[in-house]
Amino acid sequence: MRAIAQVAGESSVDAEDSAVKSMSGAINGAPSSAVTLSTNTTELKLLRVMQTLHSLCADPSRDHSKKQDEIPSASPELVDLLQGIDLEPLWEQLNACLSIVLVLEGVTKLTEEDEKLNGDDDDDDDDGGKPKEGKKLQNSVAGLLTRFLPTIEAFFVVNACHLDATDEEARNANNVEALVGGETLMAFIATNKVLLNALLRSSPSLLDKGLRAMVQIPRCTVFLDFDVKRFWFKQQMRKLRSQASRRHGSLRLTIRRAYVFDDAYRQLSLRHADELRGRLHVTFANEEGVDAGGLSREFFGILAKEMFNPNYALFTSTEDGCTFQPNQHSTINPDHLDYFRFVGRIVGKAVADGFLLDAHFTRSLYKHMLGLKVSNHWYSLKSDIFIRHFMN
Amino acid sequence: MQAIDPDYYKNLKMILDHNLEDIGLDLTFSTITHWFGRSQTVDLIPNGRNIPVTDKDKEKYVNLVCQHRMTTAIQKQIQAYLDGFYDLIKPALISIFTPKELELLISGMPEIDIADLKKNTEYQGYRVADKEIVWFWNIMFSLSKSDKAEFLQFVTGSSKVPLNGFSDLQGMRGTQKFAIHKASGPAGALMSAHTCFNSLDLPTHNSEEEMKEKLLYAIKEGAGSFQFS
Repeated sequence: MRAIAQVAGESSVDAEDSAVKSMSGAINGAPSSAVTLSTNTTELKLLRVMQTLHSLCADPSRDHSKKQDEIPSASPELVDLLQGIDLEPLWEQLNACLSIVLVLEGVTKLTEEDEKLNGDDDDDDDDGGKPKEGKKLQNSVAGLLTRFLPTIEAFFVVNACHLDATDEEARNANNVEALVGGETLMAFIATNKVLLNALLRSSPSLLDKGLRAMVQIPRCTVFLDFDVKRFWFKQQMRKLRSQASRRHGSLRLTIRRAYVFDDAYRQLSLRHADELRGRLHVTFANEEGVDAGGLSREFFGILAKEMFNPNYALFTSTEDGCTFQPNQHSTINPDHLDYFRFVGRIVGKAVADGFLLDAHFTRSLYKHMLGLKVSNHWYSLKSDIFIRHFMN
Repeated sequence: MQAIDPDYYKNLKMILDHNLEDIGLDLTFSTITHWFGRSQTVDLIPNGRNIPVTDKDKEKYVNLVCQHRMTTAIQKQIQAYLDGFYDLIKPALISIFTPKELELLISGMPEIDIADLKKNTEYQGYRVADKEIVWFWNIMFSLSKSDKAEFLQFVTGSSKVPLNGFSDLQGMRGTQKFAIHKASGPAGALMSAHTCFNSLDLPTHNSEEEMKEKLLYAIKEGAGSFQFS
């Protein structure tokens, strides 16, 4: 298997070499803008070759069991091949192009327009950068970017994959050091974050495909805008929900109005985690009404108040009564941990299904939820109380 | 029963700011918890109750006390809560957000009525007609919904709007209306906020544009600058 992979890999290097050669030829011909001369097809070809190389050089023993949404790993021979090809000039060129786009983007507010036609036109003119700029002003930023997409994707294919030599731990943490082109990647994302966000806004599915490193490497996610992240997150949740609904059916709860908290606790605690993901249907006992969202909203509204009910002794508030954290003395209820798990499930269900809770927690609890280490507890306390002090 | 009370904070700050001998404190690496009138000594490090705290390692002590209060003492509760939450949402999915964004994700973008906030604002060192105040409200009205939410987080520590409007805004000693204090310092300096007093220290500025730039910087980068904590 490995031998076949190697042979096939080597033969595709030839194809790749020619692709790179024509690209670098294009680069030398018109230093101001590589894209003017290189057509979409060569860029696409490069991307395809990169992807093929990757799947060919992949370690077959590892990859079959792995989920598709993981960052691929690069075997030593692939890393060698990539180093031999030396794509650095291409990346530099890509950066140069994108910096021109950045300037353009700052110059004017651009509107949506079909970019493909213009893109094809541009392939024919080889006047260099300047006339092009004037033309491109008509285009949307995202449209402009689609032009560079194959190269950007190729960039991610090459740089955002794990080094085979790294240990599991670094791999699991998705450390930048464990990537083939970690620092190059970070520099690229940091410089072009405005463009990448615009690109992802217009084609969000890229986060599941070529640009998935953006949501998988913790140091990359800070460069994504909130709305981009939230959109991706909601899509993931919708996928999981329909999967669970197919497998387990809807999550049906019958709740007595006088005992919302207890009934929900009893019915949710019995269920397996997977069953909880299905579509939620809430019925209030002895009431007519089909849950088209309204009853669920009411249900979460009541729970958001009840979980902070001092009688349950589950949470304590900061002095202003605004934010909550678990109560040290919740042990007064012997089942308190089951209740905390239940509350966690309620918050999780609300977030997963897009219902809002009027529930605010302390910053340190949010950090725990995100798996962030609270490394300096003194500062964390300060930011919960005397938040954000400048120049003191 | 308060989780985090300002007196507690003040005590810790005093320990950090002063010589332990001067304030006559005899501390060991332990803390005492009270529960139904009984008190119990908890070691912060092995055998901590017999190890005195010195000026040299008091920062470590303060950090450990906070850690105990905010994490260790409620470790099991936090873990159970997280288990439940992760039943629905895997850590890898939620971890793309920052703490601030997570709060907005759970509680939503609040509807912030700036006119209501303006009506319930107190001033110290400024008068309503001062140009800084006029600029400030111009800026506030022009902010996007999410910037308004971040401003509220910046000033009050949470994006929660009081149920009965800003006349009912709570601080650490009951109702505490939003207040704008004139900050000393050069014109155009950065602004700061005291979340337990719901107050904003606003320096003078040379123009509305400058103030807006500083305000946006404070609410965005300011929160970020505590990320290391």
